Amino acid sequence: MNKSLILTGFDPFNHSGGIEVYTLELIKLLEDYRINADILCASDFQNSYNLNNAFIGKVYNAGRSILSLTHDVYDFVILNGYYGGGYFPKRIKSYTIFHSTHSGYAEAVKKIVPRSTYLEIKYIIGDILEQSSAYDSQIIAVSEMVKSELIRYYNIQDVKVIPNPVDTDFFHQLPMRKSLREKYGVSMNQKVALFVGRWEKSKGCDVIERVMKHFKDLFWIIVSSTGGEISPPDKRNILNLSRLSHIEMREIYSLSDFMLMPSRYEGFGLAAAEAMSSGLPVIGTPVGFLRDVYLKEPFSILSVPYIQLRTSETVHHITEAIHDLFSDERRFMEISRKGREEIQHNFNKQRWLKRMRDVLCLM
Amino acid sequence: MSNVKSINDSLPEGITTALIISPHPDDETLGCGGTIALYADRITFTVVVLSNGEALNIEEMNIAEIRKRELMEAMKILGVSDILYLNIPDGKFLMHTDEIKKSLSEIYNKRRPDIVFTPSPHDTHPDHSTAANVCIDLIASFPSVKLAFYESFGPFRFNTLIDIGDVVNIKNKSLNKYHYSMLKKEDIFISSCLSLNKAKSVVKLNESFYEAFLISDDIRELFSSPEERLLQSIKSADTIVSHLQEAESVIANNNNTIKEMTNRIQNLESLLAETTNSTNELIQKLDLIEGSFLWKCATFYYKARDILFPMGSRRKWLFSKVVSLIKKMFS
Repeated sequence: MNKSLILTGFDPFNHSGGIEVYTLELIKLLEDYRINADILCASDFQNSYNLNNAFIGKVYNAGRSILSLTHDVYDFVILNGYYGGGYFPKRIKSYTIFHSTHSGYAEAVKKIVPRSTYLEIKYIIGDILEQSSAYDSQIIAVSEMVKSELIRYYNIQDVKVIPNPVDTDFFHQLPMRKSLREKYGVSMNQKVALFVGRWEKSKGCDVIERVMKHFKDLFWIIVSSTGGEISPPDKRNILNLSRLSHIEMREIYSLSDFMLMPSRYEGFGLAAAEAMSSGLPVIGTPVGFLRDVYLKEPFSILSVPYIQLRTSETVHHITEAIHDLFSDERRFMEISRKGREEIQHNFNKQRWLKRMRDVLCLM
Repeated sequence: MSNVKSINDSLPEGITTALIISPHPDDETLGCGGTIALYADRITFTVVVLSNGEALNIEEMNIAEIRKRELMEAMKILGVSDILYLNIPDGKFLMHTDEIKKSLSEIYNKRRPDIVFTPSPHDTHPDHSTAANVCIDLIASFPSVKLAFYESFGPFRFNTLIDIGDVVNIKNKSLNKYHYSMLKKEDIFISSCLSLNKAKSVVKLNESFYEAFLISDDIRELFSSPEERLLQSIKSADTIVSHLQEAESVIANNNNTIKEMTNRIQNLESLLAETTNSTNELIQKLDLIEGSFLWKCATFYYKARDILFPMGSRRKWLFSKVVSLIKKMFS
């Protein structure tokens, strides 16, 4: 066994989303076992079939381009979610990694997107492409939540859960908070709230803008490379950063006081896991891996329900959670410590490597 | 009809017109002769003969003419009078697909068939499979036309078996007209054909003769590759979503226009309210003036004047003179 192919959406060496980080870890793992991994990115293909949604055309074309390949060329193929939708039917042993399900995502954003967008996500990307990507393939989900959605929406029963790996040795609380705050121009006198992700409604940006109005003394760091325009009530209390390296992200986690993640949907929520590994309490909605974490103590006070079309109630729950978090310093410290332990125990890289090695039968 | 696992025992309901595509004279009777005889009173059949069968390996002068004549006699027995000839060179259909497609397209437009019978695309005779593929191509332009593939030389995948037991003698008689078309060995041809028909008895567990067809509303479902079918699904869904997006943008534009119009109506209404208010104020002022003592005196004076000095009278003239004299005195 010495050749593999990874079919994905975007070049993992030039993008830094959850799927790309995961793909880079996979490449490293395969290299350790002397397996060469070729990368095929849907974004590099043409929309040859003239679909109205050009990216879906590219995804189909990418999968179709490898239809004729056999085991002589690759020993196995790894498909990332619906990006592998065009590879149907399969001729080479395949693994499909689901970082989310678009049926689940569609339901979560149903009330905030146009009907056509909902239908496109739910039926074209979800029902057609994700299901064809899963067909005749070993299925891996990155969280229990994604697994339950695969069963619920696609009736895919045989799913192995291998959560995203977090490098807990790298993501830890750095000691020099004062100098870090000076570096980024943040006052030591202010509490710092952190948001990491695309600045869009599905990630809860509308909720955050409303929370900002309630806490005029909070300083906000928004790490967002894509999405819409941020319109905070007070521009002096906000630092907007994008395209940060891992080293810079570690610094940002270390200088912040807590993270806010009011997403409508997350398959895993890698940024939240990195933040927790760095000792940050994460106030958020029970999505991705947080769904299970919030069931345990002392994390339950950090969980805020997302209520469709009743944003003001979500905002209310968040403001209460922020007050609760800072009202008891001992509890704050306990959440910080146990949060890191949670990540170290369940999502550490060694555990991920072992599980992935077993699933891919690497020896 | 799309479920090929279930075997139908009749043609789909509602069919009144049918085309029988016959690559060479005799194919139509070998494949569908019994069905034509069985349905002749309910369906108007048109036989489209693609070639005249001149490439037949037989030493006969004017074999094309002979075969045409045989076909006409056979069709007379089956009750078909509408026969069209495309005169495509026998054995060379692959080089004439555009011509076949164009001609068939014109015939489809004129005859408006509900169903078209053609050999199977998996038929081993290249002319037969070419004819079938042209008919498949035409689905895109005539999506409501059903396709029925018929058996000619060997068994094939079918989903419909028509029991022709009651009319098999008519089919037999009709086939017997093809003496030269069947290389003067019609006994072998006919017994092979009828054996093929009889062999289907095992499917129905009833000894009879059956003509087999593969009929579907969506023939692509039966022959497309998995990747093509996947693409078809994506394309259909993509088109629907695109139409929906267009509709949503039209609705959004209309909503904007309605909003603008509503704003304009509101502005006009407030303008009207303002104007009405100022008019009311002026009416009130006028009422005040009309109710005043001076206004009443003036009104009384003019009324009295008009009574005492009517227009055109000498008194009026005299009065006017006196008034102007007084005005001059005081000016």
